[in-house]
Amino acid sequence: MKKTVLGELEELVLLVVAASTEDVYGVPVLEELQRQTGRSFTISAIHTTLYRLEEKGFLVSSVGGATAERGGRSKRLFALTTEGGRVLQEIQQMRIRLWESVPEAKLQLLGL
Amino acid sequence: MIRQPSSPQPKPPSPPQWADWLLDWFVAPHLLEYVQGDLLESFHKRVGQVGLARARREYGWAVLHCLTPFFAKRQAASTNLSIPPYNPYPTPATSAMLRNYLKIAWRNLVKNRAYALINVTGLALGLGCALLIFALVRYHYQIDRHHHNYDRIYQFTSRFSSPSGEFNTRAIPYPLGQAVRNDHPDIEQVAMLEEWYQPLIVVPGANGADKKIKDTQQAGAFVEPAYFHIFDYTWLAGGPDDLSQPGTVVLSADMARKCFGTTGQVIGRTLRLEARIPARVVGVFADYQDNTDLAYPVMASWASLKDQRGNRPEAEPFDNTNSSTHCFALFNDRFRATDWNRQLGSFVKKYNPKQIRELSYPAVPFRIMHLSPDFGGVSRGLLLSLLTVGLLLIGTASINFINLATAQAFNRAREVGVRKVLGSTQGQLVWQFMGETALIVLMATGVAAGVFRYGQTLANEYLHGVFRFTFHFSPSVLGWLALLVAGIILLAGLYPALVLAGFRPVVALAGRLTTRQVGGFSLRRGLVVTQFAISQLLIIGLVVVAEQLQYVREKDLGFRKDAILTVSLPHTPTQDLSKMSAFRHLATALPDVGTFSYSMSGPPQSGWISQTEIRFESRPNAEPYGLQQAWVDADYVGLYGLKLVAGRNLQPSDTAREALINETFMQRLGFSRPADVVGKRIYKAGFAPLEIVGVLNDYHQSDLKARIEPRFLTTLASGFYSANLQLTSAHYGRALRQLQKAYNQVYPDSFFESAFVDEQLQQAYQQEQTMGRLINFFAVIALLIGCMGLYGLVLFMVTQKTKEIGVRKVLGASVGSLLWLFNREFVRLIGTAFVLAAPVGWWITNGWLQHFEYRIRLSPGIFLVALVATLVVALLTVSVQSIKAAFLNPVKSLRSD
Repeated sequence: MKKTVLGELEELVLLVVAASTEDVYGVPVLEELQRQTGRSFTISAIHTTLYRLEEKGFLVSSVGGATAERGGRSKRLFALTTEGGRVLQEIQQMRIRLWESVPEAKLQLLGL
Repeated sequence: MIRQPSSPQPKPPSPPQWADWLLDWFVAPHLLEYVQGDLLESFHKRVGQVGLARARREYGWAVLHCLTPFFAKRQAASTNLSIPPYNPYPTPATSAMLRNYLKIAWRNLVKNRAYALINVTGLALGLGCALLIFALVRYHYQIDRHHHNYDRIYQFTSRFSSPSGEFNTRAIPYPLGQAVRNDHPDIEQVAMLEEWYQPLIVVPGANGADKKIKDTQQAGAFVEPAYFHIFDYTWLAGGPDDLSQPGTVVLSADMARKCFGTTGQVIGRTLRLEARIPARVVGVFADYQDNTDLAYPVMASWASLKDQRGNRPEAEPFDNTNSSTHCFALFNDRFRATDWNRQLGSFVKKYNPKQIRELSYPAVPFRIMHLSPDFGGVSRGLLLSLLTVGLLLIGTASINFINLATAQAFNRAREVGVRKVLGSTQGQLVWQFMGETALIVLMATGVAAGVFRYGQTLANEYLHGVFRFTFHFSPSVLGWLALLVAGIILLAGLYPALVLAGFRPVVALAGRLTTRQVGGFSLRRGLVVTQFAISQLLIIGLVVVAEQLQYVREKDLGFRKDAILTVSLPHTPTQDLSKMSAFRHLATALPDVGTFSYSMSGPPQSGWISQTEIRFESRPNAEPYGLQQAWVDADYVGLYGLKLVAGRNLQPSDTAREALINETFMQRLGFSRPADVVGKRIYKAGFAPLEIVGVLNDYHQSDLKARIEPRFLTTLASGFYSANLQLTSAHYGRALRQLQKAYNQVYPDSFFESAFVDEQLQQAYQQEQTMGRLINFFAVIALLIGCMGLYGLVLFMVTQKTKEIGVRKVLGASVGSLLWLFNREFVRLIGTAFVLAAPVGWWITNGWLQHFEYRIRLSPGIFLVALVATLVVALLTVSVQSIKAAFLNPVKSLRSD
């Protein structure tokens, strides 16, 4: 798989999936995202992103059980792949490198 | 996949149905299951959190967000997604061949861009114009059809029968309505209507600032309330019930806005009709569409008519018919129109016992009025000929298609061969090629819709008046359009498709087909001949109409018409003589005004004919023919340059004492020498005896479509409605301004209105002029389409003959002889077309000219114009390509072999 750049939403969704203890589907991801960011998302956006991440090989999916309130429709459950975990680590390391290069005095100067 | 049956439970809150439907339709099946599940789950959660209504809104909103390409895209046949395919056959197997057909069709279009362009443009032009024509014709057939009693409405007419023939008119006598009602109470409704030309309305304003509104385009009317029971009107306020009172009026919404700036709260407000008659508004009706002949924005009560005219209209005799007076009736089964027409004899005997001319009042179905020229309608013949032109245009565009398609068939022979070897049946191939035709025709239809839209605005501006129309798309129209398009596809596509599908694969694959075998060259020739015959026919029509109109414009009418201006006097029952002389003084004092004269209706040919009966000398009975009368003053003859052949001009007078007669009247009276009739007397009811003082040379008091009828002129100042002025300088603008000032000084309540005589005269030929323009336009289009086809054909011939030309050049042929090689063929075709077009053209135009009593002779020159025009245009078209071919270096064209 070629080197892929992740968008912001993609990164967030991937992190949410990574953070959850078991396989997740659209609704929990959506709720978690809204809770964490305070922004509102639509299901369609979440689904599009999940599928795109799967296409990139960062997630795998399986079909999960249906419930009555889903109108008897099954869930598509997503789980992180090794590739997905690696990409998250890369991102984190890249961020840390960037953070380290920020001079501490500068932030203090700004009163932070 | 596990699909659990949902457990039974009390009717759960459900999301909006439309959203689910949208989702089912839009989202690809392999994604739908999970997205919908998530949406539903979150919906149910939200119901608990924010309530049902808001949750439903949110659900709808979320569904709308799913309308993106990502969700629409169906799963590809093979992907490496880990998602199990929802449907193993994402596209139906049967569409594979269809897609191949489409692909090949598209490639062919792109490869032969020139042909595709010619075909699409030609078809689009033809179809667009035809649509325009069909819309126009349909409009005329739909007029007034929306009244729900449409089929039961009749109009009373007048029929004059004489040994020389019948004359029908919508003009009827005033007292007819009342008499009909008295004698036949069984008739469901009877309503009189008096048209009120160029209505002037004065809206009294605060502090004396009156607003004057004059509608010069549309007439108003005086009507009886029953009129509104016969015809459908929608009332926005008030109604027709109070319209039986004198001094009441109803307005259209548009007129109400013009008068008061609003349609609300106008009931009870007052206007002054013709600035004199106070009238209370009792109703406002919704604006009519333009699909009606009964377009009266202001309708006053019939009871107010006597104020307008100064006498009780019912008291008029049954002899006087009035072209502005109409009477409508609604018949039912108890009393039918046939019952009325059966008792006509006794009715006429009762009310008009002493009539000489056979005059009766048949009831005619209202639905035929709009299409009867007798009753001022559009001639059905004109519409039919337009319809024919429309079909011809479609025909000529289809011919292009057939020609180009069969000519090109040669290039597709291999494809057909291969397809047949691979198992295509002939039927499949026919459908393939029909489909290609359909593709082109549909593209053309799209363009044609544009042509139609633009053409419609153009037609409304350009053909204002006779052909006013707005076109609305309705299901029936779309149905017709679909039918038309299907017809064109069949017409244009069937033959080429059959030819192509009929190739024998062995011959086709071996490349042993010759052009001659492919869709008979003679058929193409025949089609080209037809095309040019159509063009020539239209050109002949164009030239004849143009020449006749020029003849009409330039013919000596027997009176002067240049630089004469007419000014209308107020529409009062009798004119105020002192005001008239005041206006005359002011006007003649102006530097630009020469001779000044008053008359009943402006120029000698005014379109206003008033008929009467007279007795001559001691003859006991009235003369047995209709006699036209006109009121003029003593300066009239001099102003218009009418020529006296005997006797003298009228003496100035305000009352009728002397008469001038025309030569036709003299002959009808039985005299051959003008001098003999001078000094004799004629008697008209209600008039003093009139002495004939002079005989006028015949002049055309009607347009050239009618014969010159007997007529007399006398002085009757109270009946003058028009001032005639000779302008002596070219400062028309200044003269008009000064005249308006003088007019408003004398008639402060009235509305200044003037027209030049030569322009007025042309209005009589409006319909002919419109027709001329239409034919003009369509002839050009037809020729254009024909030439495009020709161009395509030559393009094809040239590519076919490149080698032949090369060989001929090597052998010493000159450029001239090569050009002749191409042109010879087309000259012969156009000649053949002419042989067909000329007699048909003669027959049609000769028929049209019969409408004119005075007309041009059909000279051979007219037909030659058509021949030469098509020849020149065709040869120019052919030459563009053939010259290129003839100059091509043979080294280039022959090298490849």
